Amino acid sequence: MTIDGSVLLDYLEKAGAAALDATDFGVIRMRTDGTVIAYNAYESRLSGLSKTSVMEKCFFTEVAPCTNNFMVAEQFNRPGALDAELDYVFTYRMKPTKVRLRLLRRLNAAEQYLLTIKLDFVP
Amino acid sequence: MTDDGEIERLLRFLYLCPVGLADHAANGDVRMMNALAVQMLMPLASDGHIDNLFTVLAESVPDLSTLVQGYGPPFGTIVQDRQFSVRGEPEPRHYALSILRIGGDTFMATLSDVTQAVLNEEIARTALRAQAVQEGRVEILTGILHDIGNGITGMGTRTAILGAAPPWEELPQLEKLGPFLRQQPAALEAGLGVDRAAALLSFVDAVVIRLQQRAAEWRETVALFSKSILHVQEILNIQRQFIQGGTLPRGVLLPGELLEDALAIQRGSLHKRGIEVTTEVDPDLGPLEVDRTRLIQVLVNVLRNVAEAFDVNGSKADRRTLHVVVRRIRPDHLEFVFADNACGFDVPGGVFAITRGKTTKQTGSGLGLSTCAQIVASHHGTFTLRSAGRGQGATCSVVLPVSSSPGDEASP
Repeated sequence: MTIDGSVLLDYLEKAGAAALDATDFGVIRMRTDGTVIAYNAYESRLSGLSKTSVMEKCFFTEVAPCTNNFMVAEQFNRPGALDAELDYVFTYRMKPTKVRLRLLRRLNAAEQYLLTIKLDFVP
Repeated sequence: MTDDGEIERLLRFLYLCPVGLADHAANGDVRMMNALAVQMLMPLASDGHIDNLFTVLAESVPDLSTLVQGYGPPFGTIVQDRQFSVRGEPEPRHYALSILRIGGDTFMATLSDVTQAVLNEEIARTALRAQAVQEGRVEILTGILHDIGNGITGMGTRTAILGAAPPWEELPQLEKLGPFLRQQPAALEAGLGVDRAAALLSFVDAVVIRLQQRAAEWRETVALFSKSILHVQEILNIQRQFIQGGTLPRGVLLPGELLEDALAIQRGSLHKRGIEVTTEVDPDLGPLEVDRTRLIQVLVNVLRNVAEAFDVNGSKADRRTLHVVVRRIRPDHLEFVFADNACGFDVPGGVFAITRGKTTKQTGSGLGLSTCAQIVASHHGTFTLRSAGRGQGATCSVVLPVSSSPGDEASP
C-alpha cells in the first residue's frame, strides 16, 4: 500500500488501528471538523507525540499548527470531495522535515484523512 | 514522569507555542523550527521547503542575510519587529520578524502574527484621514465665511458713513436761497420782471422740496440697507457657530423679532404651499434671554413641520391657514402658539408624546421634534404638540420663561 495509491481511501476506511499502524506512511484520520480519531504509529514516531495525547484534539490547532493555513487546513474547510497532494514541511521533533502530504475526503463523508510521508522515503 | 513523557511535553509546548521560533546559522540554514513558524513561512516557500531562512524571506526581508552576517557582537538583537506580509485567505497575513544572536553561529528567529494590529492601525489611519478631510472642509468653510464676513463688514462701514453724511451739501444752501430772494423782492423784480421773479421763486421752492424728498428717501434706503447688512452678519455668525459645533451665547431678544426671523426663513416654503400666515404678537412682552441660534432652529422646525403637514393627503382645507400667537400666559412665562388647519394626527389624549425617533410624519425621522423639545427644555421651557385628530389640524405650543437662566445645553 502506497501513499499515492488510487484505491487508498477504500483501504483506509476499512482499516482498524492495527492496519493503520502497519502502513509505512503517516495516517491521521479526522472528523470533518479536524478532530483526530486515529493517529498511526508512523506519525507518532516521527512527531514524538503519543496516540493518546492527540486523540480527540483538533489536528490543525492543537496537534500540528504548522498545517493551519490556506495550504492545508483551508483545503479541508472547503466543502466537497478532496484528493490533493503537496510537498510540505513538518517540524518533527523541531527539525524541519520535508514531507509529502495527501489530503483525502469522499463527498459527503463524515471523516477525512491527512497522509504524510517523509520525502526521503517517497518511492 | 518518564523521559519520553518529558520530551513529549516539551515538544507539545514548542509545537503549540503561539510565537514562531527558528534556530538558524549565520548562513540562514534552519536547524530547528516550531510548527507556527512553518505555518507562517510555508506560503513563502516557492519550492515547498524551508531549509534556509534567508532564501524563504529573500523577497520579504531582502537585507536579512546582510544584517545577520554583518553583525559583530556575540549576543544581541539584530532585527527587531520587521514587518512583512504573506498570502492568506481570505486576507493577507502580517508578521513581525525579530532575529537574536544567542552565541557563536546560533541565531534565534521569532515570528509574531501582527495582522490584527496592522488592521487596527489601518482603521485608525483611515479615521484620521477622514477627520483631516472633515477638518479641512471646516477650515475652508470657516475661511470662506470669514472672507464674506470681512466683505460684509466693509459694506456695513461704508453704509454707516453714507447714512451719517448729509446727502447733498447743496440742499441747506438752496433752503436758504428762497427766503433770501424773498427778502429782496424789489431788486429781483427790477432785474427779472415780476413774472420771471415769481417763476424763479417757485422753481427754487420746487427744487428744494424735491431734494428734501430725495434726501428722506436716501436716508430710508440707507437705513434699510444697514438693517439688511446686520441681518446677513447675524446669519454669518450663526453659520460660523454651526460649523464650529458650538452655540451663540445667550442674548436678550424680543419674542416678536424671533418669530419674524423664523417666518422670514420659512416664508418661501409656506408661500409655495399657499398657506396664509397670520400673527398676533402681544406688544408688551418682555425680552427673552435665549440662545438665538437654537431658538430660531426650534421655530423654523415647527414652521417646516406645519408646511409639510399640508403636503399630506389628509389635508383637505380650502384655505390653508397658520395662525401664530405670541402671548404672556403667566407673569414670568410666554407662549408661542402655532395653530394650523393641516392634516393633524390621531393619538390617545390628543397630545403627541415626543420621544427620539417618533414622528407624526410618514417620512419623518423623529429627530426634529425631539431636538426641539430638548432645546426648549434646556431653556427651562416646554414643547407640546396637540391635535384633535386626523383632519383636525394641529397646535404646537412653545412655552418659555421670560427671564431664562442658563441651563444645561442639549445637543441636537
